[in-house]
Amino acid sequence: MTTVADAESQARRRLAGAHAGSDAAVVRSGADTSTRRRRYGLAVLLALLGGVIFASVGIGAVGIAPSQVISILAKQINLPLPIALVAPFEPQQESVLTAIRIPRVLMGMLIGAGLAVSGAAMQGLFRNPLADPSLIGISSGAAIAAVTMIVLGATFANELYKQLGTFALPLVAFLGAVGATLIVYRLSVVNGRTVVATMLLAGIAVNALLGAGTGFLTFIATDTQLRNITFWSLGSIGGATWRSVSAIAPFVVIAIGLLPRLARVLNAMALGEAEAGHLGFDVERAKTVIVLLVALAVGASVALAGIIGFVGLIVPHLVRLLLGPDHRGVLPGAALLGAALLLAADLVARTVVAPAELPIGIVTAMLGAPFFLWLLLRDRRRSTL
Amino acid sequence: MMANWVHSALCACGVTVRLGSRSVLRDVSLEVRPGQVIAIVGPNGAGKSTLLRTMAGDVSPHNGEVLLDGRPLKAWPSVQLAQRRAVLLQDTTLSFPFSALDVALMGRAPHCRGAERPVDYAIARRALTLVEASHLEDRVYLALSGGERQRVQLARVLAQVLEPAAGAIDSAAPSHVPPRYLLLDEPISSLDIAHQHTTLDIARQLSREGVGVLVILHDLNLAAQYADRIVVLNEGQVVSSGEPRQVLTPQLIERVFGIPVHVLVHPLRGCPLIVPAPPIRCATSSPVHE
Repeated sequence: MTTVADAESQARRRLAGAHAGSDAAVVRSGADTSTRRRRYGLAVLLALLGGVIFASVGIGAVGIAPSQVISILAKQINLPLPIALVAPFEPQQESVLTAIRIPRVLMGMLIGAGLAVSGAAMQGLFRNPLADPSLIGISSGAAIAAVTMIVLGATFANELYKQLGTFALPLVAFLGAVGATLIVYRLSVVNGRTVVATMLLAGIAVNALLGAGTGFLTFIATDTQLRNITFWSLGSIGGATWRSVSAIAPFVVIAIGLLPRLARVLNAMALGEAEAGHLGFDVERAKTVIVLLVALAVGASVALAGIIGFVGLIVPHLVRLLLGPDHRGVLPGAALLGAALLLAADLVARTVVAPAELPIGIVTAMLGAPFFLWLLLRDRRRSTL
Repeated sequence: MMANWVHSALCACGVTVRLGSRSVLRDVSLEVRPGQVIAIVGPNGAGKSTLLRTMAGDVSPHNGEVLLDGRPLKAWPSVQLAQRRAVLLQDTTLSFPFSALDVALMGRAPHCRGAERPVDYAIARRALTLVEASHLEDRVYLALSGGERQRVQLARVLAQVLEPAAGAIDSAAPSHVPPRYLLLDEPISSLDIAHQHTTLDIARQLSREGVGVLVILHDLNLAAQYADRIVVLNEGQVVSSGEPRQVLTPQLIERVFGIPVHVLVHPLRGCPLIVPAPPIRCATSSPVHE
C-alpha cells in the first residue's frame, strides 16, 4: 500500500509541478517537427512537379528545351524577357507547345491531382488505407453510362451528339458517375446518419449490378463499338484540348481546394467517428462533403480520360511515407504527387512506343501494382516481426 | 471556489434508452458536478457504457434528456461542447500511423483553429507526462502495447480538458474557464496496478481543479478508494447510489453481482475494502444470478 501511496504523491507533485509554468520549457523542444517535415516535404513535391512539367512539355516528337518553353510562354503573354534568357525557337515548337502539350499537361495534372486527393480523402473517410474512389460506384457508374452511349447512343442520343459533339460521351459518363455515387450514398444513410460500413457494402453491390449491365452491353456490342469501349476503359489524356481542360477544371479545382480544409476532421476520424464527434467535429457534414467532392472530381476525370487505376490508391501511401499521416500534409501532398506521377506516366505512355501511344491506365497499373504489392509485403513483414 | 459551479452539472434526467424492443436503460437519473468523481459500477450488460454514451450525446434517449450546465446536449454547438467535456470510450482504435504526441494533440482540436499553437503542444506533452507516457511521444501509436495505447488515449482526453498552465491550480480559478467534464469508460482495463492507481489519482486531481469526472470501473475497491459517489447500475436501472460506504454493502453486492463478499475497512483510507468470498465449490454448483 505504501507504494501506491508513493505513486499517488508522485503523481500529485507532477500535476502541481506541471502547472508551475513549465509549459514554456516544453515548447522549445522542437514542438513542431512534424509541421516542419510537412512543409519541407510539400516543397520537395512542388519542385518535383515543376521538373516533371518541364519534362512533359519538352519531350516528344518535337523537342522543346526548358529555356525555349520559357521564351514561348513569355511571348504568349507579352512579357519582355532579359536578353540573356531569350532562347530562339521555331514557330512549329510554339504551336505544338500551346495547342497540344500545355493542354495535355494541364489535363494530366488536373486528373492526377483530382484522383490522388480523392483517394486520400476516401482512405480517411473509410479509415482504411486500401480504400479508393471506385468503392463508391464512381467508375462503374461512369462505365455503364459511357458504354451505353457507345453501344446504344447512335439510336437514341443523336440529338445529344448533335448538340455537344465530342462532349456528349463525357457528359453522360459524368452523370453516370455522380448518379451511381449518390445511389450508394443514399443507401448508406440509416436514421439520418451515414454508416460507412454500409456504404462500402452498398458500393460493392451497386458496382456488381452496374458491372453486369456493362457486361451485357459489351456482349451485344459490334466489333467497332467493342474497340471504342476498350479504349475508353483503358483511359487516355491524349485528346486533351483547351476546351476539355476548361470543362474538367472547375470540378477538380473545387475538390483540390476544399478537400484539404477537411484535413483536421479526417485526422480526428482516424480515432473513430464517435471520437471525432466528441472533439467537436461535424462528422456527418464532413462525410457528405467528401462523397460529393470526390464524386464530382473523379466523375469528371473518368468521364474525360477513362478509368485510370492505382493513382488514387498509391499516391496517398507514398505521401504518407514522405510526410507522415497528418491529412494536412497528405491531402495537398497527394494533389502534388498525383499530378507529377500522372504526368510521368503519360510521358512514358506516349514515348515508349512512339509514334503510337499506350493507354495511360496500362502504365499506371503496370507501375502501380508491383509497387503496391511491395508495400503490402513490406508492411506484413514488419507487423509479423 | 465551488460557489461558481453550484448550478453547473452534467445531468442525465430520467433517461430511458431502448435498443429494438429491449430497454437498455430505464428511467436513469445521474448527475456529475464539477469537483466530483463519480464511479459507475455494475455487472456486465447492466447498461453502464450505454449510460455513458448517452451522457456523451452519442445515444439519443427515448425518454428523458441529458443536460450540460442546464442546457440540453443537442442545443450546444459541437465545438463549445467539446471544449467542456471529453470522452474516452472503450477500445479506441487508430487507422493511420500517428505518433503518440499526434494522438495527444488531437485532444486540443476543439481549442485551436487551424494549426496547433505552442500552448497546445505544451498541454499535450503535459498530459503525456501525467499518464507517464512522455517517453513514448515519438513512437507510432500502432506499435504500442495495449496498456500504453490506453494511456496515450487517456492523455488525449486529458489534453482536451486541461487548462493552460498559468496558475490554473490556484484557489482563484479564472472565471473564463468553463466547468469541464470527463467521461471515462473503463479507462484502466489494460493497465498494470501502478498505472491503475496513477490514472485514478489524476482523475481525483482534476476533480480538485473543477472537472467533473464520470468513470466506469469494474474494480469495486478502486471505486471505493477514489470515487466521491458510486452509482450501481443493474439491468438498466440505478439500484443504489451514494457515498462508497453507504453503497458498498455485502447485501447489495451479493444481490447485484451474485457473489458473496466480506466488506472490511481499508487499513489506510478507511473506505470499504471488499473481499470476495465465493463458496468453495462454487465453480460447479452456484447459480451466478437469480
